[in-house]
Amino acid sequence: MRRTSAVAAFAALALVAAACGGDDEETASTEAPAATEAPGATEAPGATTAPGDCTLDEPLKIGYAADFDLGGIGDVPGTKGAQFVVDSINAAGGVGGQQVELEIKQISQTPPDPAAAQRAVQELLDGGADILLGPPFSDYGLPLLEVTKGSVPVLFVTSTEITLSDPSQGSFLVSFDDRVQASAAAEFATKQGYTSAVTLSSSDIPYLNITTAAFTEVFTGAGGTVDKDLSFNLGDTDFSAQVNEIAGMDPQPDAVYSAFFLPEAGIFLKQLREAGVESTVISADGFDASEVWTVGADAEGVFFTSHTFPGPDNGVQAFLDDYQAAKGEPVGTVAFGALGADAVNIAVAAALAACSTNGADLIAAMANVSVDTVTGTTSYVGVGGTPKRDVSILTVTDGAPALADAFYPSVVAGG
Amino acid sequence: MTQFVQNLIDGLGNGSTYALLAVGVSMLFGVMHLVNFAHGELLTIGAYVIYGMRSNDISWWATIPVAILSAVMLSMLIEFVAFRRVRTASAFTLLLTSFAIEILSHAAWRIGVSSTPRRYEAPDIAFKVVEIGPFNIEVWDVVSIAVAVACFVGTAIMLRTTMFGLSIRAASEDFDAARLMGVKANRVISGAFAFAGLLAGIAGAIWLVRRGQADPRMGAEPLLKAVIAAIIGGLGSLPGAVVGGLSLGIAEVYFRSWLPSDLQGLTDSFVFVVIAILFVVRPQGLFNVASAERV
Amino acid sequence: MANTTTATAVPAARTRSVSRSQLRSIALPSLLANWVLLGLLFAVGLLYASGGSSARDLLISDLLINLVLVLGFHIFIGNTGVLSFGHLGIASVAAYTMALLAVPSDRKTVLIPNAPWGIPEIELSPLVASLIGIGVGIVVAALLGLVAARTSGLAATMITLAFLSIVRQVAENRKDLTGGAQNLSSVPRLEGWSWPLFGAFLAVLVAVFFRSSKTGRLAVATREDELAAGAMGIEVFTPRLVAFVVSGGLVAFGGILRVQSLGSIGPSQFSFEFTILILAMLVVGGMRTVTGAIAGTVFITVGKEVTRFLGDGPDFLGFTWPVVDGLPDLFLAGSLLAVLLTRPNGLLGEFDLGGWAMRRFRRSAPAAPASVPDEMAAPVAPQQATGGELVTSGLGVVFGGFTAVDDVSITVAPGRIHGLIGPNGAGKTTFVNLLTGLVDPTTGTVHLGGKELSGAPYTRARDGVARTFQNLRVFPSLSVRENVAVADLVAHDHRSHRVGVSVDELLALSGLTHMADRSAATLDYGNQRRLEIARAAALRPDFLLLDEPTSGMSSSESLEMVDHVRRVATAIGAGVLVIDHDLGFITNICEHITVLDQGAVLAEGTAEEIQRDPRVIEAYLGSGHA
Repeated sequence: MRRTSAVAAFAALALVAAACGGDDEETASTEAPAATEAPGATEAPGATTAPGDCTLDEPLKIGYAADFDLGGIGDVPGTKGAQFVVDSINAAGGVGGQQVELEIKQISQTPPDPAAAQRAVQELLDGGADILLGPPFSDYGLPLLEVTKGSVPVLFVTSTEITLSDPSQGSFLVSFDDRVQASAAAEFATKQGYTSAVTLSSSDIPYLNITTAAFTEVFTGAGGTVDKDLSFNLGDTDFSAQVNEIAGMDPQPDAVYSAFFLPEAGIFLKQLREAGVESTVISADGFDASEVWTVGADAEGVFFTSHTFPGPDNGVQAFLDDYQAAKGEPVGTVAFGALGADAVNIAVAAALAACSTNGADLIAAMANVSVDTVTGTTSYVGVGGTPKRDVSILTVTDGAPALADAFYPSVVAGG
Repeated sequence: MTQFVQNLIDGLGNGSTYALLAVGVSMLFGVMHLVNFAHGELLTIGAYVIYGMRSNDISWWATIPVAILSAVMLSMLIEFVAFRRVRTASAFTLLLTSFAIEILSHAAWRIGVSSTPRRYEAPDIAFKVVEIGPFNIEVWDVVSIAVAVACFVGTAIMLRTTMFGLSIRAASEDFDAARLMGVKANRVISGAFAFAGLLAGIAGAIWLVRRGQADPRMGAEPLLKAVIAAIIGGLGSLPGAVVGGLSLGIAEVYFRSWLPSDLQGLTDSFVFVVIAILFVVRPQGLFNVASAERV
Repeated sequence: MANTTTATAVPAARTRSVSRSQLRSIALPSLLANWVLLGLLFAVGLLYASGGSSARDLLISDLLINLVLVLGFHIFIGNTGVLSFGHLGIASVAAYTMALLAVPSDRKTVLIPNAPWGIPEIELSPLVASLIGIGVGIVVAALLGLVAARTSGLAATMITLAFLSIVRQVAENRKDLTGGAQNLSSVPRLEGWSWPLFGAFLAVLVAVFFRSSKTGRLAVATREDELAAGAMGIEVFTPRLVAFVVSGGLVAFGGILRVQSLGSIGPSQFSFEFTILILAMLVVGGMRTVTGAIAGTVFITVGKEVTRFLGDGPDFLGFTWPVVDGLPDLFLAGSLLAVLLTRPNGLLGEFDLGGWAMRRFRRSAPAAPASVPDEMAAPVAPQQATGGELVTSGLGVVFGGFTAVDDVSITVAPGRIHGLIGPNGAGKTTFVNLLTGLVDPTTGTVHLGGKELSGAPYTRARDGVARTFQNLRVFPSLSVRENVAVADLVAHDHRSHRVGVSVDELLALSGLTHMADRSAATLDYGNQRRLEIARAAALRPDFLLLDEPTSGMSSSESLEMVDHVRRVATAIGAGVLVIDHDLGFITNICEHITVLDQGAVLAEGTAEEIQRDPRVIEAYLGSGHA
């Protein structure tokens, strides 16, 4: 798979897998002809013709309801990744004999206005969107689902919120949810031989406390103790109170777990290390997005759960390189741009599996979608709205993320 | 006891930033009965200046004065473009004008730069800790407190000895009377905005060196704290603003460390309840500002 | 005495019925006109929606719901002039109450299984849950109002802001009850725009009737000038509290509609930022009138929608627009700033469609009673002065060591015009402030007809002491007639034992009939003075306290004022205590004069006695005319 234009290849694989109804993942071996390094170049007409059987009556229309405000952390790279893949697919001939259309609408405003977001979503639907890609957080995600009312599938591209995973409403996550990643973090901590931990949570957004609650559940279930749950607020720039509290513990905890991201994570790490606390810090996927490793030496040795990592089994590195080559700038984060690409691939797979662009057909087809995506294999077979995927545990070494472990947690909190 | 003193130091560190901002807010209220919610935007411009200069590898020594200067300039610009026109309007109009400027600034940064944060690396000095006996003293807390004290002393001297300080005090007492005595309204108010901008620039520099990130809406939160601090102290009273800022900083740290863990998320609420009670008991704030309406 | 009482009953009844028909004449046209406006807007909306995406239907209901919220804000903020940041906190509490009761039980056992009070088992119909929600909202508004209405200005603003933050934090942290920052979904949704439309019409109805109700008019008077309102016997607290509760109830309704239209609720929905947005809608149109609130809501909502559309980079008007992130925010800030800088009272200012329609109607009405030639038409039968003497004994006050008023004892006989004179700084105004309760005395008491006057200014006004102010305090944006009518309103409730002179008669007597519909601020100085006296007279006081009624007037104007004061005093049968430094004016008008110097009584007597008193000549004329 190496440097053969990963994007088009994966698009092709998606088509193959989907065309086979997801019952045979080995179809991935049907290597598509080498496609393009960049959209525009068209040497891979085979990409669409390969699966053959399905011809769509009308183009597949994908609507992306993007939150560029607080959710911009995910949707800025997510929309870039999605657009890039759509362009690649179209350059390679499209899907089912038709071009794929992607319409991106921003749904975020200041002040946050879910009513305006609902109108934007309605416009996407009225514009003929067959499938929607959704924002990371439920403050926009749930109102969005009230508009679609199960009429079309919604793929929440970079979201890990469990409430947004509900196949009965046609709503799906593209990757794992918060309880899975926090459970994996707890299991990883246990594997490292850690027995005591402190968590740092905030009630400002669900992400920051659902994760710590799940971590605590699994970690204590495995025999560890969570001695304290300290709180913070988004926007805090001084963590002396929390840091001093940890520093004052005897013995100091083996691990500190929080799903925080920048700027809070950076400040906390620096203060924690300055206070002489050596505990291992474990975080979640927001850490990836925020490039916390730029914090410098203090981020060394931090572990965080992530959706993927460039490796031999996936096309992430190729995707990143292709994007860079085509656009002249990096897509941003390791995982979120790739998840945007994944979402498009999943949508295409569903369309081909159903061989239809009808919303209800697409939702029904989702249950059979199992597709090789940029970040690995994404399968909805028998799992409901959240694909069962390995959680990558990354660590920061020499100022860059490196893969420490990857597994699906044996125990998942809350279920 | 150790914990108590440790908290006190932490609280004073935070509180000194609030106090610097609060003095500016209070001074503007004194001269023109304005609660300036646009004041926090002076921090934002500082942050983007720091981001812009640091990403071009310009030294912190050069960056910080420019950031402070940008705050002063923006403060004067806001006065000149907006507040000068509504100077005699009701407090209500003034307040809403400041909100409009705040939203405008958010939108401008969003459109002009990006809604996603811009990052710069914080210098190590911002997080250095020295251990003195049982206490972990953050160097930056000491710097913050020292700079703030210097600013307060400087402000006090300025108010007592300079002609400008005298005009500000006179204008705060009674603007009409001050005018009759030859105080030029535009000059005093413009000067007050410049001075408040200077203090905000300094507060911003202290805060931003640590924060490591510029984003469009970053100014709202600290400003709200500063307004609360100014109100606790009694709007218009500069010593009140200092006391209000420091006590807010300390109260936050104590609430955070003493509240049981399941109530910690309610820290701000506890602070607000205390303030609401204070207002019912003493509507004018801790410090009385002579503002008896003339009949 | 007996025949005075019988005579009293008749005119009082007559004026009351006048007042009621006046209420109808204000409220009904305004209601109808604003309803017509709303109906027209809705029709335009339907036309617009019929030609495009069903997102347009959503826009219409969003606009109507915004209107309910904005009118809710208008009722308190527009009428009292006190800025509240807390109303959306009330909406939040009400909407959460509704959601917790109305979300289907099987969803609640998943979303909030540990909620207390058996909430997961409860499942009420959306209508019942909404009514309970509004009820809870009203209770919360009343409790918050009890605190907020007691304070004023910025203190009230900050207390309400604190409330908003606390509601949000509690909603985020009581995860068992609210689901925390996670939105609570599966709220039964409103379909179509019928409920929002009903809500908007109801909101207009409530707002119009509140504005023309007695409480509303008193609240407006306190907005215009709190001190002057107090001097007219208007207590600030009750009208403000009622306004707060009524507006809280309407905002609760709006919040519930909004949540039902969204289908989910979260703590961040009723944020400080959203409060600012609603305030912007209120202010841009003109916060004081219903028409202004409607105009602002439409302007901002539609403007934000248009800029949202343009910001997505459409092909529009033969031009591909660039994708701009945050264009609606720029529009909001820009339009708010532009309006505040150029028209601080909003695009429409004081304009209300109802008032406009009524004036048009009245002008075109054929047989409008030919306006009575001013002053001539009003030979109002002089009334007998009633009540007892106004007596101060040993009244004095010390401000931080400085004795402003020192042991002043004077007696003003009923129906008598009594002068109080002294050079500048003699303590005259302070003495009036002591009398009317604006300043608490250090020593001494005030009695009226044997009853001790104590307490807040408004109670003393109700006891029969009405004053004017040295630096003119009319209610500037109210019409001339309304200025007087408000005082008349208070008189109905608290001075009904006195014979009243009707508002129209007072206006005629003051030569203001032909400008009765103008706002008071547009009057010239002399007319404002006369208006202030007319307003005080409408209170049917036992004593009128006039603080320098001729200050700033030429001597010929002063002479006219002498006649005017006499005429008014005779008409209402009140005694007058007139304060001035103009010896000529005082000696012209007063039968009895007290001279004040350095806070103490220097001399007392008839005009001639005073003019001959060497101490007066030295202290007063000596310094005053040197």
